[in-house]
Amino acid sequence: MKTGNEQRDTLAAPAGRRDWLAGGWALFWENPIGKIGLILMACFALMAAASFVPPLLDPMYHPMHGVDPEISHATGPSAAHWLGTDFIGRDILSQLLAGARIAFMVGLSAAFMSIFFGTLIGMISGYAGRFVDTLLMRIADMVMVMPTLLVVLILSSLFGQLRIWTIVLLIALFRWPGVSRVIRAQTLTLKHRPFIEAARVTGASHLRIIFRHIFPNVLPLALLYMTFRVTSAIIIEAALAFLGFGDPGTVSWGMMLQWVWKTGHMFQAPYWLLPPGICISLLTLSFYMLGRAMEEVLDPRLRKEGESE
Amino acid sequence: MDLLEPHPQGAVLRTSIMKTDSPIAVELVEATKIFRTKKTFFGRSGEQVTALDRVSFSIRQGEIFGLVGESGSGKTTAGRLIVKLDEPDSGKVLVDGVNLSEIRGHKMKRFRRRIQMIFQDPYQSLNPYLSVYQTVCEPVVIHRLAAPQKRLETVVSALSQVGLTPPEDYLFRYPHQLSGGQRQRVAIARSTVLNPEIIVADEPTSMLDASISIQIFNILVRLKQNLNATFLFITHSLAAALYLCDRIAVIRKGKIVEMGPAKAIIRKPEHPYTRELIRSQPRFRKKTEQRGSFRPWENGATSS
Repeated sequence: MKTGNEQRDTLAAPAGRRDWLAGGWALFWENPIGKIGLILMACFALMAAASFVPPLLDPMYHPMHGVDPEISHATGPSAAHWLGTDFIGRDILSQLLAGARIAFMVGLSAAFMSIFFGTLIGMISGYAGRFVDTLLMRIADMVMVMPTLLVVLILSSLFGQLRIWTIVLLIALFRWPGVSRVIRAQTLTLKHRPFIEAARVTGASHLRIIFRHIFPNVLPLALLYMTFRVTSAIIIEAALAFLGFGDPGTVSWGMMLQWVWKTGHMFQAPYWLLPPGICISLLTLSFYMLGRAMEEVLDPRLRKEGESE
Repeated sequence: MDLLEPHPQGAVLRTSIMKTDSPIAVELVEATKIFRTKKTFFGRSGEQVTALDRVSFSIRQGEIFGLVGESGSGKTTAGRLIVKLDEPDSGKVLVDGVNLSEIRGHKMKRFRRRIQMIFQDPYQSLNPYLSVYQTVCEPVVIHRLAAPQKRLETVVSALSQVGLTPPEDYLFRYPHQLSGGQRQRVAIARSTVLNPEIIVADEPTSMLDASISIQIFNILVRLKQNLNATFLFITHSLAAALYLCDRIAVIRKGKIVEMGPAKAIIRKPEHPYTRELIRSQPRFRKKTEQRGSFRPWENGATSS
């Protein structure tokens, strides 16, 4: 039997969940997929941050309106334009940097919104059960079977050019059902756990149980799904822009590809075609790798055997 | 002296003279709880399990009442009915003479404050994402028991009452940083911070080591005296029931088979099932006597 003092000595671990987080971080960093994904993502974040620099150096580096007065056609890489210029003499590098900023904006905000709706609806559906559950899940099924890209295409051809935030909102509105299904399943397993019943016995309201007890327990899963949603949001936005339904006021990678294609430079200007294509692939890949590594940290069944020793 | 009384279900019922003067705090009247599995797709009705079969007992104020039985006997279900985690299919659960199933909404919330439960498994009954302070403080916040400035004080005193000293060391720990015994103390602090009148303790030590169990029992006894609370102590161990309880009821397959003062029942069991339960208790002294001649450690010592 231990006395109070002995117990304190053996359990002198510092307060907080910091050590838990540190353990998760160590596991994440150990994973080569997570490491590469994070480094890649950091590179793109740097690009997005650097996008503010070129327009300050010279107005001709403005990704949208800046035109090199001496160039009136697509040119290859040079000292003044490291990646060359497009068909009216705009700098491709500064467009690429601006594209990174837009990709992060679109990806993160659309993912955040779809996770917000998905988590909320999933928790309510799983916790309430019965009639509410059936209703919400049937709606989720209906939304889930709609092809996002096609529906957004139809909407944009009906209402003309869509603003970038409208596109983000539409992506979020069509991508929540998958999240809500997963969160609902998790909520169902949590609902009958004794700590939820203990909260009920102390008199906690339904709202308090959902947000105080269930929410923190599903949050890691929601964040995991957020990384996968970022990937799909970036791809959908790029596809829309490439097909000519993007926001004409923004310079996104999809827009760049559309300009290449529209002006007939597909096979004439690889310096113009390749950078946005590669960037789209690598950024989505980095978020995907990040998600996979996070999944491994969060799911103990995927952890390596050596971990328990 | 025990008086033998006929029981409606033929169970052996013994009433004792002690504590008959204090009023009844909790009463189960013919409470039945049936668990059904869902109907199958082809309309075949699911299976039924009768967890409680017209069970009646009453607990007097300030008493520790033990409910003893094997696993699956329905003892936990009885506890869950009293804290209204489940509703009886028929029969009544009366607390201070009020039928629990008739109370709803705000009245129920006020009732919750008076009846608390200690759960079996401290590894499951604490939210892993809440610190000790958050866990113990939650009931205080829900029932607005203390002004925000005084919450910390309330939590600290609840923690020191369950033997987590010094309480400041534990406030900002999370369940995974605590041992089983410490977790159960936190769970006890959570249910006693409201100063409840009735506490249902559902096998609070079945997941803990024997030495820790004794500590938890002593905490419960001390709390009972401090709070002057009524206890329903649910256990599978007759020894624990004898140690803690004033009266016990032995329950089997959803039916009470014997009820009366703890000492009387264990000394003179009337029902064959109770006798069987007592026989199945491991007895330390007898076993060593039986082993008597067989002492491998001594053989080992002589041969070396």
